[in-house]
Amino acid sequence: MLPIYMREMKGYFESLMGIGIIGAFVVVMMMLSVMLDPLGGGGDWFARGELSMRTFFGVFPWVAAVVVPAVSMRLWADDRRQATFEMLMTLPIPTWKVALGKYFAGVTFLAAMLAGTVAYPLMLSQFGQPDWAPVIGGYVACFLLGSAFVAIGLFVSGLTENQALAFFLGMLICLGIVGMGEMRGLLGELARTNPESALMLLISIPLVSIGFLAAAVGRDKAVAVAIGALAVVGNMIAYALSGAEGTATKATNSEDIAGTIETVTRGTTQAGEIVVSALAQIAVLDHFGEIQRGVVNTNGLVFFGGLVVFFVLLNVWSLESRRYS
Amino acid sequence: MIEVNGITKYYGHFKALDGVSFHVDKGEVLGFLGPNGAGKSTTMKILTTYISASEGSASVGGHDVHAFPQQVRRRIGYLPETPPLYGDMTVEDYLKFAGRARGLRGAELKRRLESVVTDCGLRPKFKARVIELSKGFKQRTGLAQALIHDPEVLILDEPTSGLDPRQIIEIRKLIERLRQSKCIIFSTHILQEATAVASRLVIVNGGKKVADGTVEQLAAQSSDTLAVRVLVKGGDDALSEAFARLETVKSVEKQQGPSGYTRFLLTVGGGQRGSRETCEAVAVQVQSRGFLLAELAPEKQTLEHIFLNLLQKSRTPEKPTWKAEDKPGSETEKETAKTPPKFAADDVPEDPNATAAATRVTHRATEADLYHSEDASSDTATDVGEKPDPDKTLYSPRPPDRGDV
Repeated sequence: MLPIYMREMKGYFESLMGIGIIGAFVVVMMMLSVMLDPLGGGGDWFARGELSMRTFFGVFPWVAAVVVPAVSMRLWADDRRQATFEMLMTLPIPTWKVALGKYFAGVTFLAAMLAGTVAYPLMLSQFGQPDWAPVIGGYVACFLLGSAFVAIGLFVSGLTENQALAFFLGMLICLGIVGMGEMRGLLGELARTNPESALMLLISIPLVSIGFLAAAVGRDKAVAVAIGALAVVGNMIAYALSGAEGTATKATNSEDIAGTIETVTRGTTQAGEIVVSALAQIAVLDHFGEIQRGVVNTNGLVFFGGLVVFFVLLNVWSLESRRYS
Repeated sequence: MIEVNGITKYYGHFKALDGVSFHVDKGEVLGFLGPNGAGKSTTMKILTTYISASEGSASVGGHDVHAFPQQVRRRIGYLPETPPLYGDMTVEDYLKFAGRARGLRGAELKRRLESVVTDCGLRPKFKARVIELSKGFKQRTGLAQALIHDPEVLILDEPTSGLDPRQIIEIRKLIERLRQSKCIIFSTHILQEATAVASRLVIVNGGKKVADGTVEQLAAQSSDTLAVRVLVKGGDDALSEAFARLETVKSVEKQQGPSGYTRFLLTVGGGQRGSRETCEAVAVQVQSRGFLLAELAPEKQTLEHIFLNLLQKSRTPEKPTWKAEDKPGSETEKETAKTPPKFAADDVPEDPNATAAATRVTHRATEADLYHSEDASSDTATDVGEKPDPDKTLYSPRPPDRGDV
């Protein structure tokens, strides 16, 4: 594993790309932290004499969802593009060790990125006496979240030889995971007003994900297209149903049908609520926030650890499955 | 060392390999020959555990490639078709990485590094970044990577492709040096390459094994019909008839030579011996009739010839023979009537009339047709009695040649 790790570290730091990404990340994080600070607001904070790390940790998940895939995109895709992939897959090192070597290199780079931003709290400490505990907690949370993103990026990078594609797919998934918590309120509202389409939406998101995985991992386009089509058709039916519901009730004016529709509606509403509450469990930002506040509970660690293990395993699986395709 | 038993590989519905079996012993250098897309790389990828076979089994050093891939990988050094290099590393760093990845450490790594750098002639570029290397040095670095752990089995996929003649000779010498202690498989579609270093050849075509044996054995399996080119100062029809009466000669064609000269193209049976006897008789005939013999060029059974014949035999159970009026070099040559194998143009000998004609395939037009021109083959399809639709003729026996002599 170590030779692979060392090789990847060389890949990061012997080119300007690594330094460039760290520099860009530090600058963007510090700028956003200052500009978006509700207490300061674009320079006001000098006058008010107040500034906190809260905004820094607030924007980190969103910035990381964009920057981390850029870090991890090369991990496999770069090898896939060259013949080195063939070499790695025929080395007397199990694929999971190769994958872990690459993963840890990505995590080390993430740590270097975060280390680069320590200048910001140090700068703040010049203006006052910051409470260091939440700052440290915040960094731990950032590191854990970023580690999960590296695992996602590693998996996506193994799917393609196109680094740009690996970047965009990784970004999509990471943004989706960060955004899922934000979508919860919206989905809850949707579940109340239009349960069918909310339910279909909630079912179709995993369906589309499974379709994507089928296409990416098993390289089975037929399954992927079938599942994707199912999700789209289901959504359309749900949309049509929700629109037609009222008119249907009026037109038939039949108690039976109205009763049936009501039962179905109640059922779907309940199902929608269940799925929404299940989704809440995988709201990344909640766990992120908890750890940031210093609540390092097993829940959060298991959550991020689980994400890492899941995506690294998926990565190994997708690469091993190539041998049999 | 290497056992391959009936391996078949499907890529989707495409059958890239179809029940290929062979074995290689220690100390042997196996040349793996075949046109592009014949299944050479696929076989090598299966042997190196990079991909798995759909059917059949293969083992390296007694370890099954599917059941014990790690054991197999420890024993092999593998150079893929394109050398697996990291452009951002120096040759030194890259080879150290390759050594460490294969479990070499400390003094042993240093010793092996010294050894491969010397063997592969990498000393002058040891500190250079891989991306700055010339193609030859890249290939050598790739080879060094495959050798760094001193593997028992060496699998080289087209190790000399893209190298200049001097570099090719260097690689050949290196393989020659390594052969005693190792078991080597290398693939190529360049035939001289195979004869130069291989102790045995396996020829594959369309995913199937066509032939397996030493060059001599393959020559015996191949066609026994050869050509002799004769250039005579003067010469007349009577001479032509005299040639035709010779026992070994199957057909004679008289052609216009340079002014004052006549060229005869003889098709002879009986293999190399028939060819020798014909040459002797031709010399006697020419002199006894008071003409001067300017050129007498027997066509040797070159590997190209053997190769093409075997490829054709793999498609047709019957031995291809020439029609009486056919002659090597003519566009109506019967062999061209069959499916043209997909070859790179580079493999075709450039100049059939060069002084080295005797050691070359002398009928360039034939091969050119074989390689490139499906139209040409359909022009001559009357000989084989069916349209040379590649898909049809590839696996179906053709009807008996009607024009056989």
